[in-house]
Amino acid sequence: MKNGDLLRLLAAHRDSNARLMARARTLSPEEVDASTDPQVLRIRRMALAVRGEVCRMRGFVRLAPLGDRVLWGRISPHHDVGFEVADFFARRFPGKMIVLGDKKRSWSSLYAGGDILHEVGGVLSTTLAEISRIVDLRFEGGEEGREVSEEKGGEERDEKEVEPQHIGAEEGAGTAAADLWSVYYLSQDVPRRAGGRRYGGRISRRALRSTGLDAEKEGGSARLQDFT
Amino acid sequence: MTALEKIARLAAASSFDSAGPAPGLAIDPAKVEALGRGTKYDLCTSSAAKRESEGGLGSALRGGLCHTFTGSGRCVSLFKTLYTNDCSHDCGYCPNASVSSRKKTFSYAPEELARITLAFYKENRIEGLFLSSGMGRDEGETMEEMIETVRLLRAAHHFRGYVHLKILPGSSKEHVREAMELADRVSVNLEAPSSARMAELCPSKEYENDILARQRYVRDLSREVSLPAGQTTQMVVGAAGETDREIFDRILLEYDVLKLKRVYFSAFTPLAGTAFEDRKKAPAWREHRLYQVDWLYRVYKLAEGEISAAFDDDGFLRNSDPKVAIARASFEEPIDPNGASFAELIRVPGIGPKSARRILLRRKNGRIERMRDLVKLGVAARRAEPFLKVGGKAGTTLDRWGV
Repeated sequence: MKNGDLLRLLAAHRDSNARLMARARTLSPEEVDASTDPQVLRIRRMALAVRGEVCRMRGFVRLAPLGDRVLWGRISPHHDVGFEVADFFARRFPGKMIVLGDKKRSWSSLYAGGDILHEVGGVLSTTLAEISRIVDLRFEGGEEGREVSEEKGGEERDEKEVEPQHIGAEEGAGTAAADLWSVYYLSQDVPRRAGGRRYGGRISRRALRSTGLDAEKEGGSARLQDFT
Repeated sequence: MTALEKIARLAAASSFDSAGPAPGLAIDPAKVEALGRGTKYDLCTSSAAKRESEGGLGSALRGGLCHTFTGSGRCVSLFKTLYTNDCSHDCGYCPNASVSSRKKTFSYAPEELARITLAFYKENRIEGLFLSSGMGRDEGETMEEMIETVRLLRAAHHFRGYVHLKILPGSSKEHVREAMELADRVSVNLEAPSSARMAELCPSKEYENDILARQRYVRDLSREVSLPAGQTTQMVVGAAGETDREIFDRILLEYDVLKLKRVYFSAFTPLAGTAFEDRKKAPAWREHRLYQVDWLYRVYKLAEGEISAAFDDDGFLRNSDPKVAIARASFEEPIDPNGASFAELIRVPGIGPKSARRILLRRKNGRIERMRDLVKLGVAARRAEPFLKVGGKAGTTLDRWGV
């Protein structure tokens, strides 16, 4: 792991401190990779934990449109990785504003003209309402943004609290894409039919509860007729 | 003007709609289900190519990304679908075969499939598209429509995400070239290890002409057409009575002569309505052991002769780690990690290339005297211990270890 990457990841860890950062600055990539020193091992584990969370956030978050210029989704990261994830999607969808967050924080990013612009904000629904007001967007309804929570031991969120009700979200069963996705997902396998342990090892119950993985939540009970 | 206001106004002023068109509402779910189910046993990893997002929609990550998992724990990364399940071949294991008794046929149109792909991608449900197909009425016509789908994605919708495109058996060289120009990865399904086994699996396919010749096209065209994630293939395991040794001999040719990136294996499952519905199911562990042998050859770079120790007299792999069988045949006595070479270290079960490299780096700062230090470097102690001598003594001798 390059030293720059190590420092960036370590700084994002919720238990990071000045002492660990100072030690990390002195480490070569070889030391990080091969040392058996307990403090270096801890630094390596912390960096890998942050990297793992970024990877899960990128994979599991489901995005929803707000007008035709904004994509938003709900994430509630354990570490300070909001911008890391939002910037990733901003680069993936140039010219689209990416807004991610939960009922406490939000991260907005835009990739335009070869640069990333980003801004941290408060409650996600308030940020979306503000954006909506600025550019006169109207929420298209359909699928609601989805939350990926990595917080440990927290209460299950009351998802309705963070929905942007006041900016015109409509009641609905989801976008056409969401329904098609459920059909497609079920065509690939019957969830938890076999290998339940392996499945549980890949997606935690917390992720299933709090993310937008609707098709998985059905537990294989949905049938094709439900979508026709 | 606040920063948020500035960003919002810039986004509103953007003239480039990078998210593509909205999905149509008239797509038949039964079609999505049937054509998705048709690829259930197709295997692929996600992206292994890097594409810049500059000037287009999306990107392909070098490391890939799982967006969800199936019930059996398999990563769902790509929108894996058939273009059509109409097929003129009569493969005995395949539910899309012309002789299948339980088939209702469906086909996508290029624009329709492109729109579904974009809609899934925009909502971050997939990393890209894996497009396979039955033959349709004619392989040239079907291949043309598959290529058109990817062309629409790339040219009309500026899609820079990952695309894995199947080359249909018997496709023309021009179609192979066009597919390679548009996709990140292409593959021709090998299915069987030899022409004799192919005759058993699928009498209507000519192994040499329909399959191997197309793989050679890809290899030869790769010299002039960039294919970021290379060529792969997949084989059905256990449907035609073939041995693991036959499969292994074939994958040696695939890697060494045809320069493939990867070979995938799919344990045969008899499906209702197919010609092979009464045949015995191949155990899933057989697929797993073949992947292990493949890994030892492709990643660990073990020689063919060494790997031979993993096969029994009948040419089958046992349901145990082939690396252990190979190590037991190779090591006369436990080795000292302080003096062993990289090549020796990676032959020890429980030590992979990464932990072997860590051991070499760690040795620069002093001797390794405790098994605990090896564990901290990522070594799986329980498996490695019988083959190692740490601190001057072996933890468990090879003789005591199950010989």
